[in-house]
Amino acid sequence: MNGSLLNRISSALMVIAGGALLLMVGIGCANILGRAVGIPLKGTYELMGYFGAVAGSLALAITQIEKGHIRIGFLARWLPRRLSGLLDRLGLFCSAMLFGAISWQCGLLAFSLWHSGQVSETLRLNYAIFPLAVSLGTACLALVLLFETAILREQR
Amino acid sequence: MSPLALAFCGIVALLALLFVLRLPVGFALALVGFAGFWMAINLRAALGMAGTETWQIFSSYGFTVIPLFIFMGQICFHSGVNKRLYHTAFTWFGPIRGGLGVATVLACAGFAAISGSNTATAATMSTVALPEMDKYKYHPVLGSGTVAAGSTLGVVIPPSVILIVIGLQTGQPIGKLFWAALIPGALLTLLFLVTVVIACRVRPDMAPAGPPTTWREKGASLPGSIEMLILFGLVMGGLFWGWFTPSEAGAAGAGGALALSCLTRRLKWPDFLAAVQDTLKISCMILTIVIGAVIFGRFLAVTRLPFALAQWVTGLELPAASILLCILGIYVIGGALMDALALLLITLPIFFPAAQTLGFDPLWFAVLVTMVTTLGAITPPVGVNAFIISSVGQTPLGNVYKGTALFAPAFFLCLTILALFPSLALYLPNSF
Amino acid sequence: VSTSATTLTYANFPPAPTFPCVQMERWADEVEKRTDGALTIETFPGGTLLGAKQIWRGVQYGQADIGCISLAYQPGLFPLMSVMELPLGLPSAETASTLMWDLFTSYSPEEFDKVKVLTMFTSAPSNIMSKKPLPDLASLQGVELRGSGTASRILEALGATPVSMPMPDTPQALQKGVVQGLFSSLEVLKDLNFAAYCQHVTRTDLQVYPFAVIMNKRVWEDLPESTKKILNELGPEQAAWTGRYMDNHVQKALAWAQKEHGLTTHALSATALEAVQPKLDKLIEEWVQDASAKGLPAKAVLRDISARLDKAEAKGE
Ligand code: NA
Ligand code: NA
Repeated sequence: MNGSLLNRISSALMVIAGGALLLMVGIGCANILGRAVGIPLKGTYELMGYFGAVAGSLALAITQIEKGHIRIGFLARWLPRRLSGLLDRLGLFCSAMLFGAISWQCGLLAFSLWHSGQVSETLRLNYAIFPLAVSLGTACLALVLLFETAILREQR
Repeated sequence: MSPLALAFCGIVALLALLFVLRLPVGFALALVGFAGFWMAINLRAALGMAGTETWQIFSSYGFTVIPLFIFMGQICFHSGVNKRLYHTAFTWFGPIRGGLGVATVLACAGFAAISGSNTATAATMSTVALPEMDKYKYHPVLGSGTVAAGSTLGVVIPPSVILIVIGLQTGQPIGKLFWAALIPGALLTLLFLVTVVIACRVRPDMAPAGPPTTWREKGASLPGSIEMLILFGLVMGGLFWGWFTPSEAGAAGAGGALALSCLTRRLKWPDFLAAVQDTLKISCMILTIVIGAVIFGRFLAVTRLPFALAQWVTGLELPAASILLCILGIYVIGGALMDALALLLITLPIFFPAAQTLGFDPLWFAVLVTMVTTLGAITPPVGVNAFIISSVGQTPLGNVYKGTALFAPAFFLCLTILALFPSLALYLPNSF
Repeated sequence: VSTSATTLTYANFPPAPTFPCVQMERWADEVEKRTDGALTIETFPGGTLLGAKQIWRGVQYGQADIGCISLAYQPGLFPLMSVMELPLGLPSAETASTLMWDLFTSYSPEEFDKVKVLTMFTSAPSNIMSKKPLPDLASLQGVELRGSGTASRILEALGATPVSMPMPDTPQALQKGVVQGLFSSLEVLKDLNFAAYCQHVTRTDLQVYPFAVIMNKRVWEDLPESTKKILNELGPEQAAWTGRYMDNHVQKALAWAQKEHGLTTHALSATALEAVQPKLDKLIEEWVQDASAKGLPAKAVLRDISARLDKAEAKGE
């Protein structure tokens, strides 16, 4: 898998995340206005959470690609260049493994939600698709991290 | 290894990872927390923990206000609200010596009133203010310092991501926290203004006066601040009149901002897309830190370190005031070295119960902590807002830190006043 | 049989002063006493180790050895024991808790096969707390009350409009009039100071929230037989103790609210309750269909419950 394909996948996920963000604004406002006229939207509470999960997790990969995360590392510049590069690769690789594991676990959670018959509290929806989205988002982040491990360039 | 020793090793490992590796803060927290949980219990438990915590934070209703308040700010930024705000402030104060700095602080405070994050305030205000300051030959030290200090208002003046996080972690009502921060936020703004004026008196060469403006121009510029006032009024007024709950205020603010920018036809389609993208990235950055800190926090909890430490602190036979001083000192030093939000999330479960046992009012304590936390964003070596301003303004980081040092007295004076007069924080939440 | 001391972790989700955590501390103390310190329990209240919805999986994964779950948080997961969430007209927490434990032991439902159940208990019955008096069905029509999940369906049956929001938002929402009241067990009048906003209670005594205390199966199997025996004996005792504690606690909160805030209590008339009954029966009927579809003896369980309740009433409880 090459970098530009990963970029395209990450951007596509971000489009879905953006849709979820807009839905959150829509649902939240509809509930406030609905309540003003005596018909509050049922299940606002849970839907906001689920769409929030989609918005947050599907933006993970693109945020990493565009270096949107806060990093510190101020001692790195005093290390020999090759050593600090090696350490950075190690950190990226371990992070990739961790997010891979998180993706796997969220997938398991989605699978068990799908089969256990558990539903959401108010709307009584089978909501397995939402942890599946988190699984997808973290999987894509893990791939991005693996790719960065392989082609680590000098940062800053 | 005893659990407490394991916790200690975990903290050392975390600091090493953060300082030596150029790894995102959230990732480092999650890695150490995961490894520590694995060692304290077993791999299966650690895997389950990391997976469900990630799902839990992302899908938590409480945290959904964070992207919504950021979205509100980003819509405003991309529809030019910052520019117009800045123009208004500049038209009024630009002609006097140092007026550009005054205008910058006021515009930052205005944007802070419609955005929940200090990094968002730093990123947006620096793109607007720094070129202007450059144009009028402001000294880069004073210019970047003013924007950096002004951007810290982003989380002191409500709405505020930090106050939301404190509220969620400690069960304090977010609406009350917002009211509690309003007067201290105004006081800090005032002290920043005084700082700018004094700096310009002492070093007139640093801040030349801008071109004169007429009263007609001043009057004509006033509508530039109207969108900010409407949206701030919508959020705080809605809370006051009971139109919505604090956790719904984010959706109301973002919806209001969208509606307003559609009415004024100022948000073009590409700007709208950019606002969505920026919101997603900033929220994702914040939530990643929250997830990492929660995973790390679960590891600390299982070692029982927070419980032991809280017991130890409250068992100290020291006056409450000196313990408060210690806690604030730890935040200042910690905030210098680390990302302030991560520090807050790790320490809150320890200090908050301790503060409550000592009889501190939780609202007042939350505002104090918010203020020292945001100070961490502009103190060296790790100051996130300083990083942003240095990269937007193409100024060496050292210059930015020299500039922020000018504002440190204002910060400490504000903290002292607030510590001595808790009613500054408590008056509004207790009367509404 | 090993005699060395074992320490187990116990995760709970609500804040330390609430009744699920009070019963946790009592259980931990009893266990240490009865096992002569061979088994000690480290408690984690307030979601410090696991959040409310994470405990069920977290205990199975071994993130905690023991955990306390609210069945209502995971609808659909407990097709049989969720019968306890229905508007059965359970009069007190003690009756409901004992009934719940008896049901569990006589049916040993498959849904709990993956864990060891240590005890079960319920909250006190939910009632309406409101700013204005709501003494009859007419006054309840369209009134916005906080309540989600099963509570929201019961509120709908009563004609009120359920509004879901997180508990920490509720005091301010009441103060500002976003909602007019809430539907919950009455100890919150004092524990969360809702008496300051709600001076009226309308008793419905229809429904309770069931809880279960579960242990990781592998951890259970590693315990010495003598300890297992002690924990098994403690199960029904703890259920009854928690129910009694809860009922007393509610009485105290009511007395306090009457004295400090002049709380007034209203009761729905028998005719009003009769008028609502068909709608409540529909909720029960839905449960019967769901449970039967999963091959559970739903009708028999309901018959069993009314027989046990009649017996309890005859005993004068
Ligand atoms: Na703000
Ligand atoms: Na700092």
